[in-house]
Amino acid sequence: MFQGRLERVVADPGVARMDTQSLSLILAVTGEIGNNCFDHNLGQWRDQPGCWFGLSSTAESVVIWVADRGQGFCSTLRRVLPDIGSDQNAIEIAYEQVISGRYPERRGNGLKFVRNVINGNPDKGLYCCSGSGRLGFGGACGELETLAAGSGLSAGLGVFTVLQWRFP
Amino acid sequence: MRIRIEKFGKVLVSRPAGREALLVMLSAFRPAGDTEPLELDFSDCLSIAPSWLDEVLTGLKKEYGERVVVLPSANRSLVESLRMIGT
Repeated sequence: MFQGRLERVVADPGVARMDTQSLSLILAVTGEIGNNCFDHNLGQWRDQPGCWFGLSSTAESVVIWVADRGQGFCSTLRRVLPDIGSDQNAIEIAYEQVISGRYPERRGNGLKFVRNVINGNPDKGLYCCSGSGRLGFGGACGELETLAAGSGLSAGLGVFTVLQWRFP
Repeated sequence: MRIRIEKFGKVLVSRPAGREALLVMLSAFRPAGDTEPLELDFSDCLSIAPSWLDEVLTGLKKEYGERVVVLPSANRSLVESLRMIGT
């Protein structure tokens, strides 16, 4: 179902304005974030399975958000890193190290891909919350942090991610 | 032998979808003999994520080793995904 929703993103008028290369990247990045909701929570949802996936576009940018009510980074990574400590530590490890809560499967490069695409780019940004952990990167992340704080949204124990792609 | 990846979809983004594609490739596309290369052609694909690509490439290389070749492409998501999975 998520795959179907993702493919329909292409029909959004704002997304349709993107050049082919930007479109290829935003779909891949969103796909990694959205599929993580399912890959890491299958059989372990706290209450409501699935994710909230939405998009808003203007003449200046496209904003995409994905939120789930799953286990969150800390609980997932504690299976492979029992001493992981805080939510903040977990969210940073999730985006910075090639590690997965689904050991012994050899995986864990999806969020590193997301970071590589967005980090250091003035026209892109990502802001993510999980438990009390917060992480933002890319030139537009400050704006997203303000947006997330103003919305009153909180990830609780799940994961809430919002990303922005500004048009050059 | 050349596989047109676009036939598996234009947006290729999850491990389960990658695993399914791999099983079909192993079953339906068999290079001749021990030397024919297996070329993966991503032209006309819109987006390729590292999770999908990792499932497919790891599985194909396990079966065919260095005979698996990704044809050159300007698609940024493919280029970044290949870099990410170290291929």
